[in-house]
Amino acid sequence: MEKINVSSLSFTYPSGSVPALKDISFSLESGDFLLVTGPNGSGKSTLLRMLKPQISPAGELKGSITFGETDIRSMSMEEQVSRIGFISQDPINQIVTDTVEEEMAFGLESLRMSHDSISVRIAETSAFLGIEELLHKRCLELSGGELQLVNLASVMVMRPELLILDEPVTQLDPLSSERFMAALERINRELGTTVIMAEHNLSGLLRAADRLLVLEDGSLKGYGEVREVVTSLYRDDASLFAALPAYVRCCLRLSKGGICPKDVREAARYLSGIELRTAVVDNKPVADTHVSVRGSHLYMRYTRDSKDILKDLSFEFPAGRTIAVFGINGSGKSTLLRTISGLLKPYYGRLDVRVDTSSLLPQDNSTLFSKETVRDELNASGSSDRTVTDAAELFDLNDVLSRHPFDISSGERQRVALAKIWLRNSDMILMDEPTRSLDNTFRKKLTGLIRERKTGKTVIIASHDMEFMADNADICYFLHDGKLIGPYDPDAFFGENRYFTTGLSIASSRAGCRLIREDDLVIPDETL
Amino acid sequence: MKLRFKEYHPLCEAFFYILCIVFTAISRHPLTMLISLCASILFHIINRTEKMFSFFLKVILPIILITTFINLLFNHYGVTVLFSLRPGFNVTLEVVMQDILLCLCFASITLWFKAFSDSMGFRKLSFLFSGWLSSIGMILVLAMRFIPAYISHALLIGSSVRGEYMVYRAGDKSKRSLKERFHEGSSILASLFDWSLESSIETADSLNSRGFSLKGRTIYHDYSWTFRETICSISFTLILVLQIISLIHGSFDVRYNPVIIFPVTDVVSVSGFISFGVLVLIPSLIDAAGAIKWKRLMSRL
Repeated sequence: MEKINVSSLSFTYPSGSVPALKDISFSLESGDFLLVTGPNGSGKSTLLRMLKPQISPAGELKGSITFGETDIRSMSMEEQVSRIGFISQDPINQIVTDTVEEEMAFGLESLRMSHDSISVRIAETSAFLGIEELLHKRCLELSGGELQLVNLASVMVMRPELLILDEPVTQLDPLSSERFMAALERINRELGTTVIMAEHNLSGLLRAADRLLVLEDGSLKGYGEVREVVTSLYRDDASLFAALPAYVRCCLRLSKGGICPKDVREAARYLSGIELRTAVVDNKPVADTHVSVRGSHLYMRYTRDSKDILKDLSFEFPAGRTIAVFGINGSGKSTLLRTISGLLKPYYGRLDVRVDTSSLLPQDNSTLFSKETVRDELNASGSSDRTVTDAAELFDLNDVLSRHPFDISSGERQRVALAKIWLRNSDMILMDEPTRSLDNTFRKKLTGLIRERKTGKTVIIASHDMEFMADNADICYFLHDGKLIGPYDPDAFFGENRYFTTGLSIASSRAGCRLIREDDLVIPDETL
Repeated sequence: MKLRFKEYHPLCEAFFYILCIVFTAISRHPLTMLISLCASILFHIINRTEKMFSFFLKVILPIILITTFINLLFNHYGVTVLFSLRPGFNVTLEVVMQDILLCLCFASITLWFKAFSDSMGFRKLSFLFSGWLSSIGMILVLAMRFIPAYISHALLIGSSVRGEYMVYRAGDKSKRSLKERFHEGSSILASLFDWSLESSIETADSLNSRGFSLKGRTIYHDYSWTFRETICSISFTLILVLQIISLIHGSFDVRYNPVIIFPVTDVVSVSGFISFGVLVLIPSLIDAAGAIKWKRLMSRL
């Protein structure tokens, strides 16, 4: 059995003065599932790339990495290709051919395999991952989630012993992300492939992992069995405690570190056995009759021959509230936001916008950037130097101000995009998946910022991030089949639903009282 | 089993289209053009090409009209004057004949190219190229993938830039100046450029980690070379030889200036026309034979 051994690994980028990785040591048994976590920019990607020398960045490397008995850097190119698989964040950029079948054949062609062996491998792998029906489709026609599965298949078809994944689900919606994780778990459990995966948001990932490695500023903050490390995060009151799902945090806090659930089922078992007390939080907004935007009987489609994305959609959004829009993939949430902001014109119906200005945060934040540095980006959106300095402070961007917006981590990029929207100070803010790529610490901060800014401003959020939505929503709407269903009171909405709700809500459903967010919980004599 | 010409091996197919298009283009004889045009129309009818009428209206007709207009406007050679619009502006039989020839030539070549692009999709082309030079094939594949991706990303950037700050007050809805539009356009280009560089790094990593740089790649495809392709290729080669002989002999060399002179009809030129006719009919014959075979099989069930 092969074993991966990393000992006192340090790495410094040519341009950097401080090392990106500092004295990292750990070892891994064959067949382990290791989750690497840490805030944005903590060195997760750098560490992962060190394990596949072909794509390691240039720089000064100290320490050693062995794979079995061999030093990883002395492995031949061919060995690296066939034994170590690598998957990165963006689903589309990793695709190099036209159809799914060709994409899967690509690596095997490089390994000079015969036609017959390639056929069998493709058939086998696609059946294992359940993507047979995609085989003859063109890659450009697939959704992000399907593409990421194709990327996984294209690597697994080479039967690697070690699979490295750099935030593979960050850009996916929760449903696709669950499907991807299920496939990954099967690969680990049934094929015995060693998996090393980096991710900053741990919701739904703890169950699959055997081991957890925590990085902060390039140093190892914790390594070991998942429950041990998670519990130590609670005991040390580490800032990374916030990266855990709310149900894990609640169980740890209630049991004073005694119970660490790896999934909702374990949390539900624990919570149903104890008495819960909920805080009476009076966050009901005062009645306000002022309407910021009203739509009546809106119809919207992209081409004359395509089907309606929005049909007979009517709504009335009050000013000064946060409106949460839920819906399955492709239900038209982005289309709705773009229509409200005025980027798309409905072909029938009346849209009445009663605010003066609006700003839309698009799903793909890279489309907002065109300047050389982050500072220029902020200056382009802000009205004065002082507000720009304030925004850089608020959005934790001081370290990256002089860097190119494409040269920073995806979480930092999302913060720049949010800061740009913030600086516009518009009356209506529309956000499409605002927490994508953000670590939990900043997600909490963003909630605070939205609450502070809310007076008089209308915020419309479309997102699959249930914990974030539960923390922010004043009014909930469900978009389905082109129509908006609602409005719902958030507590009723999250309390009623089984899927469009938080993990904590499901976990506490069998307990005496239902919790939706962590703040609802009263912990007796807690000294946190 | 291959019932249709487009199921034949891409090399065999490419061989046909090159021969057919090249010999249609270099011939100056109206009969060759007529044969080629009829055969191409027949092939499209057998293949039930969709939207043929709109293709004719949108592509072929404009080409014919423009050529005719330019030709009649600028060429006044020839001795057989049909009519004269004003002194020196003669419309001659020679020019009209040459014009008809050109129109036939354009129409048939366009139709053959349409058949070529309908059948020789991106996959077959990249297969042909990767057989030669894998890096050229790869560049071709990536370029084909990048172009639509760039266009859709540029549109996204445009809407994001506008969506970042929308003003609804009536007074501010005035049209943007040319300078502002230029500024917006250039910032979209800059953003697109940065994005494409950034995303190509990830693509390069993906290529690299799956061993693109390793020597001696195999090519995975499901095209087979059977007895049919061998027969077809031998026929194509024989026809190629006959066509070259006829060309050297000058069988297709019609002169239009100052008077129309057709070359003498002899064994060589007759064999040239017949072999060309056989060449351009081969795909239709294969498809028709396949259709008949299929019908018979079905009726026996």
